Amino acid sequence: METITNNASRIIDATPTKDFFIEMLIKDIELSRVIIDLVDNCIDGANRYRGRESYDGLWIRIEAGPDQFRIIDNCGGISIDLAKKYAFRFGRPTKMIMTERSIGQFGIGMKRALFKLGSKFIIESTTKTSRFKVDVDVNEWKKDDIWEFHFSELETLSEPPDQCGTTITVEPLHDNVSKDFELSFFLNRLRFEIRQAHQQMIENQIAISLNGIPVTSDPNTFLSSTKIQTGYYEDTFTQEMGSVNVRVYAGISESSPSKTGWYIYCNGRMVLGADQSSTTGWGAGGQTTIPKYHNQYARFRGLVFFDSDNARLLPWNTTKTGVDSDSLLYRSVKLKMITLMKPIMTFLNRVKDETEFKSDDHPLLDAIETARSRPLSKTQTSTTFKSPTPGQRPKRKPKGSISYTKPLEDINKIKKLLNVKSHKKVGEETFDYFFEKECKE
Amino acid sequence: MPSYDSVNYSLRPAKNIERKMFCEAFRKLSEFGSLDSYRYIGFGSPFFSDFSLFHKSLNITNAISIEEELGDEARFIFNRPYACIELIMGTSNDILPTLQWNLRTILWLDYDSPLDQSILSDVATICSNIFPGSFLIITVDAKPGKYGSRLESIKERIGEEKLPEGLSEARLSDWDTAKTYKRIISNEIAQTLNYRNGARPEGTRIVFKQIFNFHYADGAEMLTLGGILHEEGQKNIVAKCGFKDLDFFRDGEEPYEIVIPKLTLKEIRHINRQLPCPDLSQVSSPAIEPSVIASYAKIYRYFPNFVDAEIG
Repeated sequence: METITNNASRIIDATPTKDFFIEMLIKDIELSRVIIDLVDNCIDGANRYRGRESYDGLWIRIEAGPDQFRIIDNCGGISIDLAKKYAFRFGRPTKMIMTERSIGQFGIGMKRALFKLGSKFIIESTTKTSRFKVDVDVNEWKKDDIWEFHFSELETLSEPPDQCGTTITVEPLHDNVSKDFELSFFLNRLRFEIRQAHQQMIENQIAISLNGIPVTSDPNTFLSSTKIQTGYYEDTFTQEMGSVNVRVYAGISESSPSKTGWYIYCNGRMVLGADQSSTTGWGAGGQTTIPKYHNQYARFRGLVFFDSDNARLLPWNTTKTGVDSDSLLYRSVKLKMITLMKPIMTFLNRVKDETEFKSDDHPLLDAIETARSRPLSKTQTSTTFKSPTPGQRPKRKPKGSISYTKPLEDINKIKKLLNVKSHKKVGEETFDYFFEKECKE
Repeated sequence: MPSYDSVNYSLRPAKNIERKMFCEAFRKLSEFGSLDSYRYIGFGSPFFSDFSLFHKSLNITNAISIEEELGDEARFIFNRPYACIELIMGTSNDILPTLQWNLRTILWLDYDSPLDQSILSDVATICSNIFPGSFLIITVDAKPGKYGSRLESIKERIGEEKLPEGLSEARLSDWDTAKTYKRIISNEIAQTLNYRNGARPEGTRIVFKQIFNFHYADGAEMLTLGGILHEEGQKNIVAKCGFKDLDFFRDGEEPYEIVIPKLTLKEIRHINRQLPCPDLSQVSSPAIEPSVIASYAKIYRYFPNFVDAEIG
């Protein structure tokens, strides 16, 4: 037997194949989500460009058709430095300076989207001082093991251009993507998701359009008055790596089962919308603290905003489609969400009672009637949800119902004797008759 | 039926003793802040005995009594002993989440019933929000119930998830039910504080220091679990309070048993004349067992005499 001493032949190749890598990257994430990731990147660009002040004048245009996908923005563009070292890396190198309040933070959004959409892509970007173009044929790129891209065009500008922004074009598209872009069902769904995810940004004036039609905002509003006030909690959690500002609002709005629930935003990007699950506290304490969702709670609205300069501290999951329920920060804030939510459940139960009881005294329904729908910035808040005292109700004896069948002939005989017209009356009066005679103490 | 319809609280000797012991313990909270700055929350019932005692002895003037029998509001208002007691009608489940929590509070939630989800829910609400330096006491009915249906009953009331491992009918007999309840409540406190503390820097994390673990029977086996909630960084202040000096201090699994020996007034006076005494074998009363003397000596300073409870 001969021991192999040559070091080179002791090496086992473990480099990933591009095929495998791409397959893993695009697996398990929906097409609409990757498109929203691209929008996220535009928003981050806008933040770098304008520093979170008004986004007035900035726009993002998405064109999705069976032959081509395109996203164009005027949000400032990607610098050559950013492009060379970070924008095309898979993952985020530690040395990169984080965009303040960034949304794209895992370093895979753009690449994942491009591979998911099609087999050829072109990225053109112009900043105040530079311009570049990257042109990639994925099938050709896959043929070797070199993990690099090349600028097909690259120049510094002597004068700032009219417009600074980025255009991403993907063509041809994968078959399944092409088919989806033909479906109005898919496009409507996409529009809805963009609106939800970027509700805050749209309200701040950034103009997003899909296939020429603007994505309009549909902000959450609260019913507000002196008698009905939204519960509000605010705190800052400071840790070694930075601090996170948290704001929680809990109140009532119009009755809408599809809109009701908790909305959670991280750096202005919605990650959970109209949530009615245990993730946000429904059913807590075996339903003694908070009940499971029923339609009688369809007026409830809860909003949580997590904001931080260090996006890594925020409790979102990697696809930005939900919260990381193991996040220590989230678990702590969830306790506050439950505390704020509880009085609203109590209130809505009482409203249901008032509706069913139909007495002349209905202060809760009156208060709802007179309260006005207000956007978040204008709603009246208090440390706990405020509502009027319910009306006085006499002690109600719990009731049960009895039902049984008897020969029609017999029922009609009794009807005649009692001089009543309905089966219900027969039941009630025969019951009372027996009770009077046999049960009175 | 609420228990105040059948039992006159102010005559229950074990509860009377417990109340006085609490008062003595609360005085030690002055290291955190003067007692009159504390708020007290409890379930007064029409007798309000706890409220009366704490107001008179500690000068607590910010007090809330939560009452759930909505139809009895007029009766409670009539019986309210002092103007500084705010009465809020409703269940503790509904009311606790709506209160302000930005001040030190003493809460004694004296439930008439066995431990269940809604009580744990209150514990969670309190621990989620309470201000450090506050005192929390929970009293529950710890009757084991009929052999054969104990496990079923506890599963239904509390849910399987929260039960400790290895429970059985035999393991819930006698005072074991009280011990089991204590563990469940302690877990709920620890779990809630764990979540609350998650994102907080060390030093500001909130911990529960157990002070009371009482077993007593006033006709029904009862468990009282109590302690102080404080920031980790306040450990020194808690040590200064000196709860350890209290004879009835219990911070572990071992309970302090309050046993009321049956003695006549004459016997009580006779034994009192010999107390305090470092060597109890020197204390005697005709035909009274030493163990009875020992039980009495343990609590003699708190022992009610009925004239005191009604008029004093």
